[in-house]
Amino acid sequence: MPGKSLPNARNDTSLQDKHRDIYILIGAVIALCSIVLLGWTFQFEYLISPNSNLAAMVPSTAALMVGSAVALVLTLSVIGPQTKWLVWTLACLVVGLACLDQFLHLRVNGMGLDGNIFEGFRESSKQMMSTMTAFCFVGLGTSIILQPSQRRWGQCALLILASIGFIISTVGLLGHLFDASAFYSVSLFRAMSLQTSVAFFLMFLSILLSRRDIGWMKVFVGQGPGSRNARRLVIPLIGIPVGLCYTALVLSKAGLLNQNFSLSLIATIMIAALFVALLVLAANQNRAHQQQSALIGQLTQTVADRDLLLSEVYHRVKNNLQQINALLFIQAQSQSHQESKDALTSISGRIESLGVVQNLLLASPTRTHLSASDFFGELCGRLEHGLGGGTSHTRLVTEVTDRKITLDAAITLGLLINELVSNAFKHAFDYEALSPASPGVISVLFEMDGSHSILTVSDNGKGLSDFETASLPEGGSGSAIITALTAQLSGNLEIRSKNGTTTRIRIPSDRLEPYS
Amino acid sequence: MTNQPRVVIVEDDALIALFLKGTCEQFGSLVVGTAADGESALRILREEKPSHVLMDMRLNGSMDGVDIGMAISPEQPDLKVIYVTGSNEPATLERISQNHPYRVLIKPVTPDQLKEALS
Repeated sequence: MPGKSLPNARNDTSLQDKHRDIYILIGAVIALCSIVLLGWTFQFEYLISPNSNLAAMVPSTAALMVGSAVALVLTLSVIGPQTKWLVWTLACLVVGLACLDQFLHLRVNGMGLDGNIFEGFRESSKQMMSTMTAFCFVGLGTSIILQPSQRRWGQCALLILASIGFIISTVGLLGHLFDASAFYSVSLFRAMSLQTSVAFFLMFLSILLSRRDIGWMKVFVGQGPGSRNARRLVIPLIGIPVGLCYTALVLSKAGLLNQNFSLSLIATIMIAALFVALLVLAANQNRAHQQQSALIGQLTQTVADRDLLLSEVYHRVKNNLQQINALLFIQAQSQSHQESKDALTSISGRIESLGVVQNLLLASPTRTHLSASDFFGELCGRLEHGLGGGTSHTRLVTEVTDRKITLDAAITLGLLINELVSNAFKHAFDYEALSPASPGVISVLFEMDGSHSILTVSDNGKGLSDFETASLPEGGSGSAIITALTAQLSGNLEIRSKNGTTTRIRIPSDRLEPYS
Repeated sequence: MTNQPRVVIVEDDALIALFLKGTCEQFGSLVVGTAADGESALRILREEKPSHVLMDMRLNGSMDGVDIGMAISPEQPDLKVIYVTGSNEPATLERISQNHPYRVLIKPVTPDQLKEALS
């Protein structure tokens, strides 16, 4: 289907860049095996095995290795429905042929694939696929199938198989380095050639590098200081034991060092090397811990300073509010007209609403938002007390759906409630007509309605007029404040006057809640 | 007027002290002295032996409200110490509670709260 991209296609350029080092390793494997196959085709002994003492990579091994390499390249570059079957076919072929080789060799006629396919091919102890080679192919084929796995079990299996293959191929490399004939004497490794060891080493390394997001490779190639330290230590950790063992072997062969003593010497030096590595790690860990402790100390101090500063600011705000209230009180005392005194007292009430926000904020653990229930409860309690609720057969009841509201929202809602409740206390009732049997009730309701919040202040008083729908009286400062604050919250105000007065303000909830 | 509360105001902010004094008098209390620091507060409290003291927490000088309360309470166990504080943080309230206060009022204080505390 032209123009339609494959669902799982992973062919973007960043992926190519990411796998560049892996492609180089796989390229080296293909080149190595091609040289060997060329040697077999044209019978160039030197290309098959540079040293007659060493085992040779047989054609079947070289072919299976090239097949594995191609399958891995396909997996890493494009894996979609169209190529997945090809990868699976190649990998299964590698696994199947390796098993068939061993079956023929061990159960049928003592010859592997090469002896049975190529007429005149004389399999010897140095020209056959070793058991360990066949085992590695099984691991390699399975690893290639599991390479893209995102499932946990698949990743675990991939990691285990690739790590085992990596270790076996390392044993093969070191075996050739130290004493090839001794290495071949181990039956499982018999005839595993140097080229095969190198090829497996590169292939398993490629697979491990292709999944840097899992297992020990994730730790080794990671960006953290621990990973950097591990990479720094890896060369001496490999180099020292290998170098020592090789030196001891050479000296033993030359008769300069007793073989058993050389073993003791190597063991001692390796213990020393590991101990040094351990100490380096410990020192790094101690240093990291010290830095972490110092940082935590600094942060704790910074937070404490910030809290102190914030408390000081809030304290100052509250003190200023109290000072303003004091000024209003002093001014009110000097007024001879009751109307002027009332005006100053109502301003004082508004300032008190701001004070409630500050009080709750100081007690709140976050200081960026408040509990609506606490805030409404505290504010309405104060309002009821301050406006004579309870003593003149009037009651203020609140019903609040609790949630977090921002500081700004609390201030605005507080001022709105102050205006509406004060208004109701002042104008809603004929106080002479109230009695304990028929009290005046003002209720404050704050609830959710889908994506909106609704603030309702209602009373069972005498109402505004005979009409069902009423409006705010024009020209009053209270009306102006209510209109302005409702608009500030993008709210919609509705007043009804039937069996008392009900003011309903519908506000989008995202204007009230934190992190909106 | 034998039951008239005799009040001393300890407050370092002159405006707030004036407000507290005016409000107390409005509710029929007699304000017998005001102080802005610990030393003068203790002197006035010892001289006047009031029934109530309105005690701010933060004051001029080295003593805070609780220091004064702790110093005077053993001498005048009947004295009703009303703390008037701008800080309702748990740490401050915990410190105030050590002096077993008669009332704790959080600023901004309203005349009604004061009336209730003095009644």
